[in-house]
Formats: sequence, C-alpha cells, structure tokens
Amino acid sequence: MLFNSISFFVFLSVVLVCSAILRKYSRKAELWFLVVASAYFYGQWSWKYLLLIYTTICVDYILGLRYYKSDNPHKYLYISLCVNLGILGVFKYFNFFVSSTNELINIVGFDYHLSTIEVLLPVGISFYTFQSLSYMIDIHRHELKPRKKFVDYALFVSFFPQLVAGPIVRASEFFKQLDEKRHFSFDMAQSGVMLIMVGLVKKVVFADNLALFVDPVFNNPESYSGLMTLMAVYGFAFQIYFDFSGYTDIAIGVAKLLGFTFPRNFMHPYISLSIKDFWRRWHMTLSRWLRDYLYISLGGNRKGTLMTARNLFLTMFLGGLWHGASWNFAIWGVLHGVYLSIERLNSHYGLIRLNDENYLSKFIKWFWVFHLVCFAWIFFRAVDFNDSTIVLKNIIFWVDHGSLKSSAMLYMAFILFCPVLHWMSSRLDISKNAGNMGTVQYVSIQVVLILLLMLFSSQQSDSFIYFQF
Amino acid sequence: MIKFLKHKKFWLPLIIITIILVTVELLLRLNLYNGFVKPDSYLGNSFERVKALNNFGKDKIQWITVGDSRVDWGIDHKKLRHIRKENGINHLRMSFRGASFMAIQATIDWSIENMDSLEGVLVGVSEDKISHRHSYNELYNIAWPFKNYLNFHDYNSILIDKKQWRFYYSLALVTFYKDIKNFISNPVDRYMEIKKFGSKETAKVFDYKRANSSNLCSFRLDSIESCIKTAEIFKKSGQEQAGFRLPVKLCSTYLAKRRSKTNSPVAPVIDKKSIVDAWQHLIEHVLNSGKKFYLLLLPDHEMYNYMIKPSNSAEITEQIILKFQDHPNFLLIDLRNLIKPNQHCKFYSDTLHFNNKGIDLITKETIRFFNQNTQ
Repeated sequence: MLFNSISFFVFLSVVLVCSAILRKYSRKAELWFLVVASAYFYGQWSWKYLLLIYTTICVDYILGLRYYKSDNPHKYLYISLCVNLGILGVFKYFNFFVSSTNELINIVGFDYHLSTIEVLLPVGISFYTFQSLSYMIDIHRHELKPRKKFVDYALFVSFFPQLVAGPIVRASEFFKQLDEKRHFSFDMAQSGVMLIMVGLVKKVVFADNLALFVDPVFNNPESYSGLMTLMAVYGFAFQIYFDFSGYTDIAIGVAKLLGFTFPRNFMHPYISLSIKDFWRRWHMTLSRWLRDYLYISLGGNRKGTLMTARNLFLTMFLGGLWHGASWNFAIWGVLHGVYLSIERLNSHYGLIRLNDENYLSKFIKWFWVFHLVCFAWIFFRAVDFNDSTIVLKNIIFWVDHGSLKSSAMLYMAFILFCPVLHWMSSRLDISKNAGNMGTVQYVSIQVVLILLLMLFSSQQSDSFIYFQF
Repeated sequence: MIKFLKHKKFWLPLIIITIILVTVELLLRLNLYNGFVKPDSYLGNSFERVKALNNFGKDKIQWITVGDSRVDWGIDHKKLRHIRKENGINHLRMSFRGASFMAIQATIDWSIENMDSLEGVLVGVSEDKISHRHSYNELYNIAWPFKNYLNFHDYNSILIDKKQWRFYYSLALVTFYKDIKNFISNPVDRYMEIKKFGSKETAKVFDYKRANSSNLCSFRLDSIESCIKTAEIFKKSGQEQAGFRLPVKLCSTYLAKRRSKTNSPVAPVIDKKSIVDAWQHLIEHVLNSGKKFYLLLLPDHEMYNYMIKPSNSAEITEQIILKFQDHPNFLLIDLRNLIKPNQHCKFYSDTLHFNNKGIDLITKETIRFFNQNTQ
C-alpha cells in the first residue's frame, strides 16, 4: 500500500476516524488499534514478513525487560545485536557476501561456488531494525528505561507512517509522546494536511516525472549523449530528493494527524555549502543514528584528526551498505566518507579557505558540493559499476548521439530550474512553517498544489525509491 | 481536527478549485480549447472531421461511411469517393477508429440533422462489433462533437450505463482532461503537430488510407495451440504490443492455455434484447428519415472470432437484419464469408485490421454492391 495510492487514503481515513473515536474512550484501545492498523498496512506487502517484524519486536521487548533486571545485562544486548543484525544479514546481505566471495574465489582461480539462498528483501527491514537496535543501545547506555507495555513498544517499531522508510525515530522521542497526553491542535492538523499535499506533489509531480527522463538514461547509458547523461545525473539528484523527502513529508503529515510529532528528515540539502552541511540536511534521522550509534561508538572525534577521518570514513562506508547490498552503495558511502574526511582534514590544517561572506565564494562552494554529491549519486543509481563507468565516460568525453527531442529539452529545462525551485522552497520552508501560515498564504499554496497534482501528476507513478532499503 | 475541517483554510482551497473547474468546463464547452486538441487522437480526429465537413459544405453530402477502425482503415475511401462522384454523389468518410455503437449512433443522428442532402449511410461493422459492449470512457472522445445527438435509451448494452456515470463522462473536463495534461507536458510537440495537421487539405481528410503491406502468413494462428506458440514467439521478441491485436495478447495468458484444454466457446451475450433493440432503433430512425441504410458486414479473422467474439453474435446480427430485410431502403452487403479462413493471413495486417490486399478486396466488393444497386 503506497502513500501515493487511493487505497492508502481510504485506509488513512478509516484509521483517523477510528482512532479519534477510540481515543475518546480508551487511550490503550487506540494504541492497540494503531498496532493492528500498522500490521494490516505492512501485511499488504506480504503477510509473511509480519512474522519477521514481530520476531524483532518480541525479542527486543523481552530482552529490554530482562536487561533492566539482570545482574549481567550485557549478554542481552549482545543477543539483541545478534538477532537484529542476524536477520538483517540473512535477508539483506547474505547473498551479496556469497556472490562477492564467489567472485573473489573465481579471481583467485579456484573452481568452487558457494550457493545463495532464495529470499525476498522485506520492505523497510533496515529502518525498523535500526529503530529496534537503538532501543536496546539506549537501554544499555542508561538513556532509556525499557517499556513495560508491549503495545507501546510494538507501536514504536511498527507505526505505519514511518515503518517502511522512516524517519528513524528515537525510542525516547516516541515514548515521551506516549507518556504525555497527546493534544490535537489546529496547527497540527493544518500542518499535517499541508505536508501530505506537499509530499504528494514532490512524489507524483516532480519525482515521477523526473523518473521518465532519468530512468531510460541510467538503464541504457550507452545510447545517450554526454549532455543527456549529465542532465540525467542532475535529474536523479533531484528525483531522489523529491521522492524520499516527499515520502517523509507524507509520513510526518500523517503522524501529525494522529497526534504524533516525528523529527524532521530533510532540510533543503542541495543548498549546502559543505558535505558536512549536506549530511546535516539529507536524511537527517539516519545521519543522527549513524552519529549516535556508530560514529561515537567508533570513537568519534575524540582521538585526533586522523582517527576522526577514519571514523567518518568507516561510518559512511557502513551507511552506504545500509542502503543496499551492492558495491555501488558501498562506493557511494566510501565517496561521502572520503569527502567528509578530506573536509575534516582541510578544516583542521586550513589548506583551502573561502570567505563565507562573499557571494562568489558561496556560489563556488555550493557548485563544488553539489557536483561532489552528484558524482556520488552516479554510483548510487547506476545498475552496476560497469554502467557507472559508461555514465562517467559519456560525460567526460562528451559523447554525441545526434539531435535532441523537444520533450528531452523540456525535461532538461526543468532539471536546470530545480536548483532555483529548491532554493525558493528553502526560503519558504513549508515543513517548518506549515502550522503557522496565514489564511491567504495557506490557501494559495494549497490551490497551487492541487492544480499541480491535477495537471502534472505522472501517469506512471512508481514505488518510493527508499522502499527498497 | 474537526476544528480544522470547519475552518476556511480547509474548505476555501476546495471552493476555489471547484470554481476553477467550473470555469474551465464552461470554456471547454464554448469550444475555446478545440484548436489545441491533439490532432492524432480520438478527440482530434472528430474535430478534424467536423472542420473538414464545414469546409466541404455539409449540404453537399449525399452519402457517408460510418464505422470503426476496421472500416476507417479497411476501405480505400478515396477510390470509393471518386467512383461515387462519377454518379454525382458525394460519399464521404465519417468512420472513426475506436468507434462503437454509441459513437456510430451519434454520428449518424448528427449527420441526418446537419446534412440536408443526405441520402444514405453505409455502416461498416463486424458481427463482433454489433454484439460488443463498450464503455463511455473512450467513446465520449469520439462522439464529443456529436454529443447532443447521443441517445442514451439505446445504451443499455453498455455495462456502466448508470446515470451518475453518464453525467461524469459527459463533463468536458473528463473528456478533455488527458488531452490538456498531455498538452501542458509538452506544448512544443503539440504546436508542431497542430501545424502539421492543420495544413492538411480537406479532401485528404476524407481520403485517408492506412497503407499496410504486412500480413500474418509467417505466423500460425489457425488453432489455439498455434496462437499460444505465436504469442510466445512475440513475447520473447518483445514485439507482442506492436500492431498485433488482442488475440495474440490473449493467447499469452493463462486463459488461452485453459481454453486449449477445455475448448469452451466465448460466453454469449446475455442481454441480447437490448443490443438488438438499440440497433433496430437506429436503423428505423435512419429509414424513417427517408434515408437509405446499407449495412456492410465485414469478415472477422478466425482467431479473433475464436478468442473474442461472443458465441451468439451471429444470432444477434440475424435478429437485427430480419426486421429490415424486405425494406426497400435497407441493403445488406454481406462480406462475412468473403475470405476463406485458410486465406485470412493474406488479407490482415493484424488479427483485427486489413492490409493493403484486404483493403482492395473490401473496397472492390463495396463498390460492386453500390454499382449493382444504383443501376
């Protein structure tokens, strides 16, 4: 059940009405209802995977309680890590490591092949595993007490707005909202409706239309010119942003209508003037998770500049692999790790410095950072490493494949307009201001969004890109 | 939430959008968008034809050919027009690809009302088309210029003919929506297309001929088993969508495999009466208006018959004809058995449409009938 489908909005309407009625009589009943609704939502992909997510939920719920009461609690953390990472490993990474090992064996010259297993990747496994892991780690760090009520924990892991593609909510943030009496303000409803509309437009109008230009180029790069390929790379940068931030906007909007506040996940990443700044604005909840549970665990910035650079590199490499079991994602992560490490070394040793007050140097920084990010996206999007090299070859050698169709020129014009659109939306910052807009501004934006949906929605709407992770 | 739903921030956008939609509906009904419609579309085809009719002079037309793509693409309209012109008759093409009973009826009734010299209509259909059910969805696009002549009493055979759907599909917004979206998504291409089609001479609009020299003789379609094999070949080569109509698509589904085991015929049309009544009503209306009604029954490809045609199509057709067979202004041009089944592959470009050889044969036979009946 996709957020951009009619069936989801029917489901959402039923959930909103039922939860509002139940809330009046029993808070506990409402929470159980949301757990069941979330299970139904997830079950629409595959009922079998409900077993898997509830294994994760039950194991961490029980281990969390045991941890708190035990004299030797560490073993429960290790069990939790083994179970969660084990499930993730089997379902997401096993075949990748087997095929990589087979290739290595082949290169060495042995005639031996390990066999892969036939499993489908459960939707959102990386997201809910990370949430569940953070719960146990927070208990281990004494930052959180285990949840006694099963319904609270089950809802935290499986709550449908954020179940399949985040935002990755911290346990403490979520439980705090359950403990306090949730209040449904006018601003929350106003903001929720606006975010849902903005998210839909980002997905159905911008991302899906960009996909019509970008996908053919990346699926068959040898048939396209340098100009088309370059535009497809820029196009993908915005496609994935609109796609993922659109999903997040809808998720946050839906949560608001149910009385929950989720953390922000995107803050106009393509206006960043440094890679560090980019990661403060892109998939913010993943960045926060990687920082809190990986980077800091590796030592963070406490052991000198070189070790900090190493930690950044390792964190981003694993962050890349988190996205998918493929060397493409690993290369994407490594590139960002290298960028961040170099930036760190540069800021420590003061090798290159540009004046932040100067507009030209600001533009140079933006241009540089945007292109570094786009360069990394090539490896993220290309079907395999070979295709990435073809994409790069097309751009570097400016391969020519004849004249352009008018539709391609229109797409290119739109792609070149995207940075301006992005900058304009950063000035408006609807995610932040949706709740306190005046009537004229709110109504005008809603009318424009509805018209955009009616006139420009793509007829070939796909699943959200981040669902595969 | 309730407070928000009651607030103008919620309902004002909906009211503004409704006002915009109503305004656009009115503008569309005032024909302000007609000049921007995609020429090579159902809607564009109809507008182009009406424009050509106006240029030609509606009062100068004595005969029209009406029907779907099998007739529209399956007759050499230029040849027919020239030969009929030798007898002082202006016989023009008013057939539309995609047309079904609803579009055919509206076109005929509109023509009777608007063409003062009209003497007769040649309606080209197959048995399958007579008994086939269609939805308003695409038919409104074809029938839009003739919408005032839609006779909803005759559409009981259309499955979704419930009043609320009729209202929905009769909105200009619904009919023009896809075209407007397509226009906005690429106005440059639309401009070029309109420019290209706009320069077409009036005669060329009526003399349209879809030349196609390909045939089906390299594919075995004489049995369901061979159709399944052909479908598999097409599927593997990735060509099954292009120019190769429904039967082979159907033969690639599990239904075909099941059919090959059970050999059960296509389900018959249950509500025969409504179809028979609708056609008889149309024919009666034409005859009562003092016009001639020539019914051209086209041959269907044997695999099309086998996979698509309801098993009582022939019975329905006979019932319709029976009532008028002695009427002096009614003529049946029965070409159903013109082509022997083992010769089908030579005359079709796909299992629905005729190739050049088929077009020549159908045109020749049609002209022969006209010559016989004008002497």
